[in-house]
Amino acid sequence: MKRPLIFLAALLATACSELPKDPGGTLERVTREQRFRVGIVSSPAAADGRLHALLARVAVATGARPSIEQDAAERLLIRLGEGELDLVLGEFQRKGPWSMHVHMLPALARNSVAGRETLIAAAAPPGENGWIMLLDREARALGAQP
Amino acid sequence: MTKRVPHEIEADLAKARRLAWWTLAWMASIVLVMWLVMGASQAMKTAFIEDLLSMVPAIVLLIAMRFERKEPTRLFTFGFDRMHSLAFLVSAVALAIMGATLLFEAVHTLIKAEHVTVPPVELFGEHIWLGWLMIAALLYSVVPPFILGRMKLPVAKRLHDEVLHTDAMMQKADWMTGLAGVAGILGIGFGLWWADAVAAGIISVSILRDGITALRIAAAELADGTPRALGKAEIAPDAAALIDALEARWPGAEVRVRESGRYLLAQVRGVGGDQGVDLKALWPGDPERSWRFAELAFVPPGHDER
Repeated sequence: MKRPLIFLAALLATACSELPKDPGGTLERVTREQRFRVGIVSSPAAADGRLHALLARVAVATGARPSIEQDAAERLLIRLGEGELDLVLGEFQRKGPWSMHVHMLPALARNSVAGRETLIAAAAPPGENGWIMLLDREARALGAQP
Repeated sequence: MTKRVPHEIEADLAKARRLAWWTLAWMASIVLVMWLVMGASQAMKTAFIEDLLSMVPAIVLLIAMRFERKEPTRLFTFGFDRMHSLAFLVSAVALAIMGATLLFEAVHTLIKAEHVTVPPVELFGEHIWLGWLMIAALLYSVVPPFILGRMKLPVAKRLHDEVLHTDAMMQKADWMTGLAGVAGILGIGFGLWWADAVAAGIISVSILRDGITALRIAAAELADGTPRALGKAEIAPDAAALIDALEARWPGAEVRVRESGRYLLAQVRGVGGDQGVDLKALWPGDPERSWRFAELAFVPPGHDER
């Protein structure tokens, strides 16, 4: 009687150790295709070394290469919410209209422009919890704070 | 001044009061834990609001029990027994709102195909998925309502206390919602974004049904309808038996029975006052429950204009 229970508990523990998974399969696709799609917001912050350090860490953690494009924040975030991008990096206002549609990772740095706080941070597609878990870990390793 | 309640139910009333206080203490601790881990998850926010709402029956029960012991006043010449009926209506509304909110949230999430983000957090230097903390909080939120709800049901039955019964139903709703929440968060963990909403949707139907039944009974009680069975829309068996017994004792008279709180009040219409009637002797059911029959009034012929 004990053996099947131990087996079941071990099976459950193994299954749970792989949680969370992504409903859209982002992390699985990134590791399989060895490529992730990145948008960098066109602004002076695009050259910020911390953003590029984050990209490098994610590339090492997944064994994938970033495929980078630059554009305006609004357009990139809409595409991120629609699943056309896997990650958007740049400088964002702390509370913007996009906050309901994407997930903001802990900020790598905070700036104040004309009394408004902005964040040097990365945004991830909503609900892709496994992918978000990995990005969050790498961002925190660089000293990111929520 | 305080009014004496029937001695047969004094012990159960004290037990009901203790259970209500325990409920408030446990639910307050659950609300605190849920608030700490709810994050941005809409499902957890809904569970948090439901836990707050589930304290309503216990609060109104304690208020009603306080009034129940008060003597009639010049402004309330019939006393305060009916405060219990009012408390029952408030509890029923809370239960129905809880079911309706849960159903609305579930349907809304499914229609909008919302992919819920449950991010990781850092706790004591460990990077862990917030989902695990949510599951731990939800499991904690299941245990006290499950135990307290089961303890309340027999007391509610003995006291014929609709508020306590609705409170027990609310606790059932609580632990069911908690388990649905665990299934939902695990579902999210496995990449099934719809699991949370489907689990909550299924359970919300049962909660809403209990709430609507309670609302129907509370409305019947306040509208002086024939007393209903505990948690059911049908006539209470002891009230039906009392009507039969009174009709047999005064053939040809019209018998009306209504409920005021936990007590039955009867009216025999079309006969004169009958001095020396022993209510306990007229009670047709279990003698231990004869306290339910609290008042008998007579309306002689020609004394009713309606």
